[in-house]
Amino acid sequence: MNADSVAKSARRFCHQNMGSMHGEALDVFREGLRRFLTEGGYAWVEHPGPPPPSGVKILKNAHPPRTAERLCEEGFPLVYIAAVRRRDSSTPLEEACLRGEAVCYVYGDVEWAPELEDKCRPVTFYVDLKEEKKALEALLLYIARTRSLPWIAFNRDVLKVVGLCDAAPNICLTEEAVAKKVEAMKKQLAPQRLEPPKSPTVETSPDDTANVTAESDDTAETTTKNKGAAVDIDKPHAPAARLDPAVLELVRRCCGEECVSRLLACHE
Amino acid sequence: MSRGRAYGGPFAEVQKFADVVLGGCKKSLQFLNTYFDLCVLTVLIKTAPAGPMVRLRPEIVRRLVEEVAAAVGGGDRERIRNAMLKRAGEMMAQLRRELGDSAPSEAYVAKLAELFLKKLEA
Repeated sequence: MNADSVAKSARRFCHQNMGSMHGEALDVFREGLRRFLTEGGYAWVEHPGPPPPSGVKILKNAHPPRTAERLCEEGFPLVYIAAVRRRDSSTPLEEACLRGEAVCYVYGDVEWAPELEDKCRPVTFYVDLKEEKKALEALLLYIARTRSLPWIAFNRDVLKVVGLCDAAPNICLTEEAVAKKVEAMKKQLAPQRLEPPKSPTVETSPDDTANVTAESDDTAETTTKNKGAAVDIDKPHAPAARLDPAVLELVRRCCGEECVSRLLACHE
Repeated sequence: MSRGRAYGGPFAEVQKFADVVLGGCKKSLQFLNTYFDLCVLTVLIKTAPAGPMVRLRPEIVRRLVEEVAAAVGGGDRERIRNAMLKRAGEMMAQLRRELGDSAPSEAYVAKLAELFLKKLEA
């Protein structure tokens, strides 16, 4: 497949898909949320009005307010969720949030802002989190699934509450941690530049455009084939079959684990 | 390197992460070679729509791929560009098979972000 046809096919699929923040989708979200809360056995109330201002944000960044203007003009409601853990269960959920007598985890596709007041019709679902961890976890999972959000989009503090940072540390990475990781990756590669491989490199077909050949001035590196792994982005490492272990070790050392897995996938 | 783009919305942070990784991909051919899939995912994440109701734009992907290829490719620039575009196309095709044609663009970006983090961890 050449670059033009790749671009053409990507364009075709992109045109078929629209974002899920279309008005109809928001109505569907509201209906679905009512059903989910009812079926999940949550105690909840639906209030017209914006979310409580002092809540803990469930997302790190919601969409900026201006993105909601068109939807609001079309008359669609902005749906918010306030998941409430009260200190005193006799206080109504909304009041407990407003008075600061509860921890309120707030979700909304769009960041609420005072300038939306005149244009938009917000509605907030106040949900009682009696058994905080499980109830909150189920709610987060529902939001992630229905709003197509990766865990990395969620506030780390909220993920920590439900134990997701322990279960999958990479979803709680910080920018600094990523920078450190990239630095470590670079350092890992650096010594290899001084040690050209002592045996012949892995053979590849010269006309395969999926190959990226590394032949810089000071580097003699292996050439890797991308063909076999191409179909499966997330393919686990294939077992070492018929290839010479010494060659595999050399590829691993010079080019990294990913090269080995690509080579094995290609060799299958 | 960051292109000075202001991020917003749920994918803002992962796009910042992609900025960091992209620095590595553009710095050395060895890095690009070794972490090829990660670099391609980085390009896809970096060029993903920042706001709702925005389609993924292949021409923006192509532009960034060209930038990466120009930064590290030397004489191999065109081959690197083609390889990256091909891989990007394969990845998107696989996602389409997994997610279905009716999935919103957010679902694609979410899946790309998930794969990106997985590769970063590996």
